[in-house]
Amino acid sequence: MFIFSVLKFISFFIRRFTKFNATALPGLILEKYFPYKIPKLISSLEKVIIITGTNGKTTTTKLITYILQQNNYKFITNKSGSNLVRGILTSLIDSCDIFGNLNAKIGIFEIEEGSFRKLVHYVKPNMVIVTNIFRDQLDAYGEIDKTFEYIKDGIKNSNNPILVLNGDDDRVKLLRNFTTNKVFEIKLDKYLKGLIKFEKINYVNLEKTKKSSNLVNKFYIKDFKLSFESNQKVSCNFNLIGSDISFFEIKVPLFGLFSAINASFAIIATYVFFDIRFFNFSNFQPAFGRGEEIVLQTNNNEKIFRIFLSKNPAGLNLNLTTLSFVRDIDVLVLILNDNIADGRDISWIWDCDFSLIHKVNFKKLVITGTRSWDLALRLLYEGLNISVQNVFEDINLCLKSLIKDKDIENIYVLSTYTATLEFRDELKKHTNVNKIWKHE
Amino acid sequence: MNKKKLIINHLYSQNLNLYGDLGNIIALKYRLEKRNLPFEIINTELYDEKIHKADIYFIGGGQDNDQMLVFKHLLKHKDFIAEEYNNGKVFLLICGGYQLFGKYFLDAKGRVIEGLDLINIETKALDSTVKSRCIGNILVELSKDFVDYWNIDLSFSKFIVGFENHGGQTYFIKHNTKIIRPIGKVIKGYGNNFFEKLEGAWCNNLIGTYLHGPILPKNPHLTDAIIKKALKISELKIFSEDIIEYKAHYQAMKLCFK
Repeated sequence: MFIFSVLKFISFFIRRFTKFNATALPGLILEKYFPYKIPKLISSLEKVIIITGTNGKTTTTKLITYILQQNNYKFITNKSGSNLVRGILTSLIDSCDIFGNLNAKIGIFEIEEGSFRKLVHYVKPNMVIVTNIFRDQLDAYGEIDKTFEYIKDGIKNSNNPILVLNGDDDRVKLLRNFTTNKVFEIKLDKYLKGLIKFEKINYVNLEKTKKSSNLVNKFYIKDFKLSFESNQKVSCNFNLIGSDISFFEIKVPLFGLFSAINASFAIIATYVFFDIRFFNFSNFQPAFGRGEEIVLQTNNNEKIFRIFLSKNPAGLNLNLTTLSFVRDIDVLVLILNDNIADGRDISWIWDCDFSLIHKVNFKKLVITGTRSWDLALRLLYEGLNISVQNVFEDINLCLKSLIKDKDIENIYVLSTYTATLEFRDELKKHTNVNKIWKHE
Repeated sequence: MNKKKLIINHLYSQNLNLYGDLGNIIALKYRLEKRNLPFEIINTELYDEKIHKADIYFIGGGQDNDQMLVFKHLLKHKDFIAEEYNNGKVFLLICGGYQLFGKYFLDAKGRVIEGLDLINIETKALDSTVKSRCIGNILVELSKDFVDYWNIDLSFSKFIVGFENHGGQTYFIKHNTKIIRPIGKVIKGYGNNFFEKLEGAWCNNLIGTYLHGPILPKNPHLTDAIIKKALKISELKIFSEDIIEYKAHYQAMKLCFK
């Protein structure tokens, strides 16, 4: 009892008296100094879904909790971005009483790929969703095969979980061999498949893994289209076709094909686990930097910033593909930072398919971030005209110049992780003079 | 002006493609195109029976599994590669590719994997003396003999910048008659190994280096040097002031000291 009340007090204290959100520290203390208390804390969790993979964890988690909320389920989930073991433990501390009893029996947690195998020491998931394995932050992990191994170890050390996998990602598909429970795969319809280039496996080591005998339930994303409504709100529409059950006319108010895949993970997970068949995403708000809209009222006009987190080649390619569907882009802002949370190595921009940018219809291109010139050089070598005055080393200066410009309204921002944070923070600073609100 | 078509063979592009090294091919292509120099980029992959003849051979870095597969293929063509090397063809080898061209590689279990033996280096996997990978921004001051032989334009910079990410620790093998030299002195970062502050190796018209980043776009003086060497000419047409290249080079340099 003592420990949980202290930890809860620490959370309370930090949130009340500092500017920090305490999304990790209480969990870190628990993990480091009182790990023997963790089993007590999690003992009442009956159903746990873990979401992992390089891209799409946060949105998938948010979509699942959105469906659960709509169907009146109580659950515990970690704050977006706080996806290490300590973040999950913190969310549990926040949801327990001083005796360590949780207020819900369902846990929906996103976990960073490398931390998954650590998490399963404490929390054994009943279902694991693996969104994809793309090259991401290789200076942290070294190789994508390592990422695969980490996730594999996590699954092997869980209690034979149900798997919901990306059926188009060859590496992810192999994970079905590590459970004897049910396996579900989300796949893109034939004509869509070419739009996302998943990482290939070029060697036999991984493929040799014996084929499992368990049946795979496949669901296909069909009839995908992106539509814009009068107020410029965007949505992706599709059908999700399975052999036993299908879901029709799904509409998700998010950009891009990735969103359809993430929504499908959420739909199948909640259907399989809770037998939920009804949901409506119409008021779903995108997670931080995932197509998020920020409207800024200036003296001259109303400017809409749409921010797309682009932290690896797959994400960036997808976002560029998405933007090729958009009309009226006044300014395309690309931001490249190389802070630790972005990955210090920015060579991945050379693995991006920037030829896609030729299909994006923008009037002006602006580049910024700690590695702005690397990005400018990448685009110059892709055949774009780069004007030096549109490259800013300082994100703040870049934003100021955008705000000053009377002629621009629609601004699309593709940015790495810390760049997204920085850009949003700078945007917020202009709230004293102007208003920021989110589109409902 | 020499109008012979320059052939660039990007070896094993499907397997060794991990750290943006494709950018080196993009840089060569861009700078050749801007000067209207005729060229062709070809690939040799694992399924090819022979290595296609070229003027510049390029190998990037990859995952351990891929590197082993590539290596088996390369070994089958050891004689061809040695012949091309002796004929003065230009080789640019990055990271794993660099290691494969050495005398041997000592893996973590102490097993010796014989290399192509064109560069007089040995590479050791991480062990108790060096436990962590060499990862980070790297700044190298080019050595005078490298600058002279490769006809590097120092008006751009006397440095090269990049990003290294390797476990393997590379050492020159002493007591050997083959001439081999580092390409420069490490000002910031690790280079060949944890201890010596030397980066890369060059001999004849071959350059081996740990620099990703990728190495060529931000170091256009090196890119042009490679083109000059392959075309056997001493001057290249100036087509731009390389302002963006210089800004990127300089920004990366500053970040080395952050």
